[in-house]
Amino acid sequence: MSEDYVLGLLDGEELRQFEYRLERDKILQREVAYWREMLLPLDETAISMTPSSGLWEKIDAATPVKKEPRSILGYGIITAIAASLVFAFLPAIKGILQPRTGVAILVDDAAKIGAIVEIYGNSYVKVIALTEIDVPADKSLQVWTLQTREVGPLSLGLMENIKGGDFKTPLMPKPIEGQLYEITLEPKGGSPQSRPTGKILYKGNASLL
Amino acid sequence: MAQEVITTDLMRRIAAGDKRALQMVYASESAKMLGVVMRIVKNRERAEDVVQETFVRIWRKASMYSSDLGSPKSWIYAMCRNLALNNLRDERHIATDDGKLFALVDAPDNHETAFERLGDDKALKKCLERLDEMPRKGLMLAYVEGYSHGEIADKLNMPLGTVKTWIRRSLLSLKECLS
Repeated sequence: MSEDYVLGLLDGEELRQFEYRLERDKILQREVAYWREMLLPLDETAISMTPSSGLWEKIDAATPVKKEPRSILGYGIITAIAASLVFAFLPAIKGILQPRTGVAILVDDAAKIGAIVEIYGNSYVKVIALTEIDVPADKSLQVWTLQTREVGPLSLGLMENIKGGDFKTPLMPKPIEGQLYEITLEPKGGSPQSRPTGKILYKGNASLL
Repeated sequence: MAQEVITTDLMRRIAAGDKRALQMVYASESAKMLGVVMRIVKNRERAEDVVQETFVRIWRKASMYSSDLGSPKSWIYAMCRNLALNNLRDERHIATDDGKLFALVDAPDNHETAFERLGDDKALKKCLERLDEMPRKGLMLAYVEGYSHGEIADKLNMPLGTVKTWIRRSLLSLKECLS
């Protein structure tokens, strides 16, 4: 019955009884684990879809911090509360209370400067275009960053205004020296995947202040 | 081969309340998860709700994870699939209660593309290829798109008993082949 469960073919009372046994029966757990592992490659065939830009914020709001991992931040719960208060009011105070912590100069293939990215901690960046960027009607400009290859590229959002824009970046780990930022030309509405698919117009690495 | 982001250590960090570790799972897996859920619920808004609920569960239940339950990645994806299936079952109830016909819409990413996209080097692909076409189709419709026995029988225009036998035999054959 484990394989039927992993396939998703149990329902109603049968499903409820199986899950009750599964919580208590180690052998059953191992059988289920076996089938999950065997069939996982099928999940990996799914075509990636970029979630809506606000999805992480919803998850963040629904997952209150239980206890602050001191080894990571080392400040305790007071810092967590203070940080969450700052974050809650971020739309109103963005960039004002947070000091600028870094900057990246983005250049094109010919090393001509196209934009500047100002980095404010790990929750906000400001992009200022220094040149007129030609965007066809069926395309959008998208801003990305890449900190490590393990995590992969992260979208900061679409640049609605060709003169630049402000981007909240709640997903970001603390920016590191040399972190890559880039602007790509994507299909209207943004890349259909969780990574850039269009031409890289400008790119540059962060210098922390 | 790409290094696996979701490690046992990352699960421990999430269990200890490290939000950044949860963010790493989100950055690495949310797009793929959304694809997996879309194949089942076939509705963008509901699929995003399922992905959101999956991350809330990961946050709450990470402390219950142990290696007995398989790799962290398979544990997380199983949670995601189960929530997608629950969402689908709820939707079926609503549709039945309202007396509406449950519309099965074929999405561009489905059981057929899943089979095609399986790497030729995967043991699973080789073992699935050994199955007859219709039983394989039944099995893939169940796992990839979350169809029930009855829905698969309708879709393949076959008696329910035949479909159940196909799937049971396919799973036995798969188990033998994979071991």
